[in-house]
Amino acid sequence: MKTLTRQEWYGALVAVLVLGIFLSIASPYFLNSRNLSNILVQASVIALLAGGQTFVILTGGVDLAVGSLTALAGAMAGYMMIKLGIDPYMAILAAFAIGAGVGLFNGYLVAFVGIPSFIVTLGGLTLWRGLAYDSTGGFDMSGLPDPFPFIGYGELFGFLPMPIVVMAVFYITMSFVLSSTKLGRYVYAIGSNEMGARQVGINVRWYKLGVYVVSGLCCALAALVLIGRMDSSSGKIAQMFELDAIAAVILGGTSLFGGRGSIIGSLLGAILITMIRNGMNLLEISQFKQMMAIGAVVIIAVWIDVVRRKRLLRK
Amino acid sequence: MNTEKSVIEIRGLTKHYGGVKALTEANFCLAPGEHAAIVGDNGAGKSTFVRLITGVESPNSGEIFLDGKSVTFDSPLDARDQGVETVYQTLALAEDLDVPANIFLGREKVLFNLGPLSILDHKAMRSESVQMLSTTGVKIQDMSETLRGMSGGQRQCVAIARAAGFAKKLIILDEPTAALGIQETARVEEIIKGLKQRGVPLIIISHNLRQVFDLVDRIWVFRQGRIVASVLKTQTSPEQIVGLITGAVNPDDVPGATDLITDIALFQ
Ligand SMILES: Nc1ncnc2c1ncn2[C@@H]1O[C@H](COP(=O)(O)OP(=O)(O)OP(=O)(O)O)[C@@H](O)[C@H]1O
Ligand SMILES: [Mg+2]
Repeated sequence: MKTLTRQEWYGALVAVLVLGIFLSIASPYFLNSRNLSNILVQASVIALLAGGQTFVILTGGVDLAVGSLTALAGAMAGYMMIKLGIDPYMAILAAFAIGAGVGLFNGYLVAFVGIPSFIVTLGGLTLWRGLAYDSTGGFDMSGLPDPFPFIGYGELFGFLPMPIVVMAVFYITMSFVLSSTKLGRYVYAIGSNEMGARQVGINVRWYKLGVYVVSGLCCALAALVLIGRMDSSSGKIAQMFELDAIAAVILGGTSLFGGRGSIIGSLLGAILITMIRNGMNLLEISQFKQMMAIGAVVIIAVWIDVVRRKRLLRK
Repeated sequence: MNTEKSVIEIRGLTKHYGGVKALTEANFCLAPGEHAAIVGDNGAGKSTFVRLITGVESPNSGEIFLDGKSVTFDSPLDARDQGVETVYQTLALAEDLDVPANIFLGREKVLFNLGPLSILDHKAMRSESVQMLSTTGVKIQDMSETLRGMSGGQRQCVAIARAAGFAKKLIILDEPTAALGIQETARVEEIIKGLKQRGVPLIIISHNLRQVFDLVDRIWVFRQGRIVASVLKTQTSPEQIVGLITGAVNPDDVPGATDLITDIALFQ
């Protein structure tokens, strides 16, 4: 086993602890179980998106369309339930089908056609958002049927908020997939040395396609939690969530160049971003300054990644 | 030459790229346990030859026999499955994975086969890796270290140990020390000598004649897309090899240099 300090996510852990200590001192409202549980609930949607994003980034790609795809899956599910009166479980299935379908589309263009993931998903960013608005008529649809109130506000054993439960189960599963399955192993291998992976007989195209499907399914799951929380759905949900999700992954120590990183880091990264937001709210810092702060944090995290990579390559 | 006695025998292998005759009518064989070197000037056809016998490309004509049986390789994977392991110059290692992960890359041991979600058998791969490395004589202090922290020589050794561990018939090394320093080269050469002692058949492509004379039993000389000579190390000299490579020495003037080649040609 790697020692703690050499884990990629070690920096994120330290940052969470340091920021936690700072906020406990700076604000009397930070350190209580309600606020802490609140932070985790707020982090959950970004954490789900970051989980799928981790797979994509580890292969050396990026998925810029996760916010828009979340909106598409969420808006369509809401529309089906409220406007069309379709059974909620069928709507949930439909959301996952949309996530998987868009994932297949992205993966096909990246892995089989050879278009850079940056371009495919940048196009998707407005394509799926537009489709989300267009197909649902741009309306807000509120008052979701069961089980959505439970997904958004239910508590397991009477104290564990469902979004936290979903996030925990998701991360335990994903962490196992990355560390102990062929898919996980090949995700790292492709990100490290795509040519080499091909030479040893790994079906690089199919596995690359696979990570975009994983990311798409994560968007669907995130969408279900998000509309459950909001008790409504529309095409304008999850605005700019791609930035937070990518930032969470990078803050968690996963390299934008692929090959290096961990899923736990992305969870810590999502919590870190939410803590920064929460802390600034408690300290009554304006929205505008918050936007600037998050942007700066992302740039610094990528900066650290680039410097670290240069140092590794020099060795 | 009797095909049954060769680990690999190649008859009349030809590859032309449009008008470029990269390889013409190449005849080659490797005896059990034998280590052979492939030498020749730039553009002589060495890499083309290796690409053809490792399934990277298919020949225009010619035949390949493994243990006397005619075979064709549809892909590098196919060649590997039939027992021909190659260490490419680009190594095919994932720098961000640890040693056991690299040794079993692409042929992981699994506990449950669930397609892409097959569950890896970490323990078995680790213990077999330790065994493979020690049989090959490669020393790695920390198996869970990623390759990024290792020197070029160590990586080369891991790649060779991987090939040696899985090779059922023979190993092909493409310029294994071209990018290494003196000490690392010496280490890799020790590993190759160990394979010789264990009787693992091997083909090495090298521009380094000192190394060739140090390591192998037989030297095959490529010149302008043809295999022009095959001589035992003990019956030649570096000067003569240089002469054969450049064309200053006529192969017909070297006793025995064309015997094997014409023998194989008779079978066609
Ligand atoms: N894909 C290709 N298309 C066209 N010509 C090729 C191709 N591959 C090789 N050749 C030509 O075939 C000839 C033999 O090339 P090859 O790479 O086999 O030589 P080599 O002996 O490996 O040389 P070196 O020592 O420089 O590696 C050269 O003239 C080369 O330009
Ligand atoms: Mg070559």
